[in-house]
Amino acid sequence: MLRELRKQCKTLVALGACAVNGGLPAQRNHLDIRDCLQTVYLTGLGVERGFIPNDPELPLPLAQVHPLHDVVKVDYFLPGCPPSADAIWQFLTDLIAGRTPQLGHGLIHYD
Amino acid sequence: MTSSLEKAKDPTGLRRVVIEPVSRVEGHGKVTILLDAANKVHQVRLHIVEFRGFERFIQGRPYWEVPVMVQRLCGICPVSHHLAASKALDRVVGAHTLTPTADRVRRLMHYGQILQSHALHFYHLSSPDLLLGFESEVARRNVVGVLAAYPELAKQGVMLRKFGQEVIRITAGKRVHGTGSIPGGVNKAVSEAERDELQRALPDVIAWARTGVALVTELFAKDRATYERFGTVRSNILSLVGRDGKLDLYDGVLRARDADGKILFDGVDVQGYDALIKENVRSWSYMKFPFLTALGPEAGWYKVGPLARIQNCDSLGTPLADAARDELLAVTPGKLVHAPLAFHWARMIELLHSAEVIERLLADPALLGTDLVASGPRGTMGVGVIEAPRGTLIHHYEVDEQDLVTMCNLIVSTTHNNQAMNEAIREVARQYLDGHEPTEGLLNHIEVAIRAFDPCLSCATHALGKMPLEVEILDAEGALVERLVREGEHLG
Repeated sequence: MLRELRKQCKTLVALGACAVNGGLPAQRNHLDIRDCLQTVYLTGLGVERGFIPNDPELPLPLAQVHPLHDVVKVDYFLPGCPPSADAIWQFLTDLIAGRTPQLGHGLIHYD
Repeated sequence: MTSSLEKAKDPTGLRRVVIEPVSRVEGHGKVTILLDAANKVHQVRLHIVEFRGFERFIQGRPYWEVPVMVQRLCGICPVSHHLAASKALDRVVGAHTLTPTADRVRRLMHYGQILQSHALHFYHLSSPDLLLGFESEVARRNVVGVLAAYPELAKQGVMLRKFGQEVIRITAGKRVHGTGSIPGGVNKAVSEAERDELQRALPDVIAWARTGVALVTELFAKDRATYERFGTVRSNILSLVGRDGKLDLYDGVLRARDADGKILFDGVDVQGYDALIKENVRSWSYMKFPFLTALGPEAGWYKVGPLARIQNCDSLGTPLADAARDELLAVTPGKLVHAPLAFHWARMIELLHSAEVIERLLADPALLGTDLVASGPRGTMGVGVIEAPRGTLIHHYEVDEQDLVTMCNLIVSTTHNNQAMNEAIREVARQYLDGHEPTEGLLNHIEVAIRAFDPCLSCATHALGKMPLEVEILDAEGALVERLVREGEHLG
């Protein structure tokens, strides 16, 4: 999907912490995905007759969470969880006007 | 009470219709429908297709990080997770009673969030179906279409949400993913100027909320037969109620009723939730299926959320919203309303109720205090339960002597409604799809039923969330005839 997007667009922006560096979900990268699945569906509190969902309708989770630039070339990174509305506005205004986006003090933050 | 359409007797030779992504909901899911050559429906399932594993990777983190970490489950109702985690960890730091100021600030934050989330859901996500029609032109069946056809109403929706977000900013420090609540209390006082700013906006907010309630009441009255019947399935209901039996979205005790409204249990301390509720797993969904232990998985599933809450409590405790509630209860006097579309009505009543509660909190002198944090003897575990916009939200943690989390169990609002949503779309399939060639408009009926529950599938899977929905049509030999994919990002 992401590769398809990259093929079809001139400018690709990684918007927000998860896109920029994997964000909080990447916290599971040091864990074995099977261990995560077992905790949630087998050994978790209150689970009765648990098992790991395995129907072909379900996509398999990737072993690791990847930031976008692991997979494709990214033109701009807009950090923040989430980036502020003002930062997105300023970024798009600059981009549409043909300028290299410049976010001043206070518009770039990582929380 | 689980319906026959969960599993086809013999799936061979059936045609598979898929709705992916489910649009205008939060998170990522799809619906599959199995039809025979005469378009008779044999199986309908809502699949939640994401997995994130927050419950596992939170283990080993220091407990004070948890309220800011877990809220990243969701971008729409982060305050719910922020507060449910804080409430659970209040017990770990021994703060069994908060300071009056911390209690008011947290409540203000929470009701601000209920208001903004309900506004977002109704005006931005669901009103296109209700105002423009379930089968209206798909390119205009969105918030931009509503803005063109009903500009004043759409503007009120935007302004309502903005007010809720301002309440959150003032109490939590930031509109999305604030840091105001901490184990034991809050870290930010509300100033007089901030209070005054909110108070000035309030008369408009209450007026807009009343307009919203009137609108849904009118929609329901105009096409009562459809609204009452659409996807309606009877079930138990569950929610928190205040210790006085009135609606309390921030704190209280657990109460459940059966489909007739008879009390199943009441006044249960939330610390004992795990004896009352168990969860089942199905092979075809990453979202678990909770049920009331006493009734078992077949009969024990239930609804949560606005429609469950306003009927489960004795009254709402605010005059305007109570008057609106009386109108809803009059639909089926003495019986519970189970219609999924009545969720919209209940949601708008709660939006009005939240505005009234905010008015009350802003007038309370305790809100402006500066004694923000309480503490007491250190504990090792805690359960925090809150009524989030979408229903009962349960956070449960155990913490070791190194301050690290050793166990985390989350049952989020949308998960409680898993079976109810599945049953509602099966009923819609029986009512509208059976025997008909599935068109986009007919398939949108399925999505309308899902949207009524305002699901947050990101929260529900504790997964990384954007929720698309996909519909695939296969012919009787299993070959792909058509695939309708709705907007929504699908990484993978």
